[in-house]
Amino acid sequence: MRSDLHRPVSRLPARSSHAWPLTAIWGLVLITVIGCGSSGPVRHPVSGRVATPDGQGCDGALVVFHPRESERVNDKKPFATCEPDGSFSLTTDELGDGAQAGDYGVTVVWIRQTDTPQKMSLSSENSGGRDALGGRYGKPSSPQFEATVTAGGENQFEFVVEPEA
Amino acid sequence: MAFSAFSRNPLGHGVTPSSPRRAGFTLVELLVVIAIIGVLVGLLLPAVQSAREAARRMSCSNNQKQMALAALNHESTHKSLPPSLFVDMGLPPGGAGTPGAPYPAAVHSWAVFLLPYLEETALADAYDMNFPWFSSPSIIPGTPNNAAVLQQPVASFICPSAPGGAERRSSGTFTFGAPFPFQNHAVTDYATCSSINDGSITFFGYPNGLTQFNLFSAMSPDLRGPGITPVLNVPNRKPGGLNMRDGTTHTILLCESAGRPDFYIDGRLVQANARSDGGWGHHENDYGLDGAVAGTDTSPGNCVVNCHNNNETYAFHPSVAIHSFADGSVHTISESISPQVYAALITANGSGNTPAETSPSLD
Repeated sequence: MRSDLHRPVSRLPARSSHAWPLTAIWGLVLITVIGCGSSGPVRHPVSGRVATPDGQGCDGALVVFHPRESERVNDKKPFATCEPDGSFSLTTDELGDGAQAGDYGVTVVWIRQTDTPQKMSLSSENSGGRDALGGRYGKPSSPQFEATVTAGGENQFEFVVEPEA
Repeated sequence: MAFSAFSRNPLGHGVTPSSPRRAGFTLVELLVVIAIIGVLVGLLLPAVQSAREAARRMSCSNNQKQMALAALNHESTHKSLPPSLFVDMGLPPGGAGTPGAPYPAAVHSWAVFLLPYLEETALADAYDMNFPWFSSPSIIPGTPNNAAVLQQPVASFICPSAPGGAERRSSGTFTFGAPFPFQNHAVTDYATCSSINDGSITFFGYPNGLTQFNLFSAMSPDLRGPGITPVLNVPNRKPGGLNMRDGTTHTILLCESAGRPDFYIDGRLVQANARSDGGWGHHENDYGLDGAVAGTDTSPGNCVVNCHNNNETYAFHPSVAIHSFADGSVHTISESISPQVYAALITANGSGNTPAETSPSLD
């Protein structure tokens, strides 16, 4: 009698207590998958080259794509620092992740790292230097170049800049 | 056992000792109880941890408030905010009778200017403003021991959220014409973010042609003496007061650059004792904004808060960093702030240069 009473009572909660954590775990997994599924805007790989009219690549030039749409002016700006041959691929958050589709004004500033070695300096931070392009391509409000990044496009851009005499 | 005995004999009479087979919980019951306790502890532990961090963050923001008030008291006494760094250099540097001689110049960090307003008069009196922070009789006999003063930790300069607390010490060598070694300087987790660095000016949307000298923050360098321009190739200048064009509520006074001398990227300890600029008396305890590519210390980049502590804003609070503003208020700034808005909050006189400079908002 006693054992008859005992058995069903102990088995029933045992079964449900096994099922409950499983359900909870699956629920958590589901929430995680939904929560992390789509994060942020879609970015498209953008690459190109910055060169002088005679074809020399602008080693170390800073290329910045400034969004033109008024609701995106404070968005993160895709940018790149050119390779020794002048080629670049844009970065927004992570290296080479590209740019969001849209219209951009493009600025180019070329500070040569070899310029003006300082005898005495207060800071180990990069102190900048003179723009080899004389600042002509470095005005975000009136950019010399424009670029449109599209979802399915090639998104290859070539910018020819004339160094300051 | 008692439970089952009572439930079957509510009146409690005629109770006989229950049989050994009923004398305990089954294994499954026990496991269920343990699992429930485990889940509850698991829920509670992060809550306890975040409560501890919330308390540390409050203390950290209280320090910022004290320093902001100290800076404003400095302003009402001297009619100018404390400098982000101070250099007084004669010509030739270190020549007889020039500032700081026999050292090349008198060089100070912002922190020593706040000492008298933070109830630290003993340290302020011991520090000789006529000699640079690295002045020590062990480098040049007979010169004051400013280095020894800077080995004393100051509680207001430490953010309790940063690992290591007041035990951290920074050592290194500052090369300024000649090498000046320093040892065991007490650190600070706060720093002035005094400008936008020249190399990142167009990245943040400012027109090329501006320099960091156009884009200084509320606390900015004090560069005086005839040696500044010929030797350092920068103009003489003085820090301003509270009449900045962007307004005091839209201008940052102090940032966090926590965890030094250890070098962190994105919460990860990259190298211990890698940063020599963490001492509160070190003049390089001041940086210009560059931003970083996420997960690296490559600049420029769209990650401006909590990316790394190598001359960028970095805090150990989840998702935010604490900043004090030139109006004496203290705010947290989120990691997800627009880089241009952050730059606009740093500059004191940037109005009109970028769209973000028009009333930059913390939200």
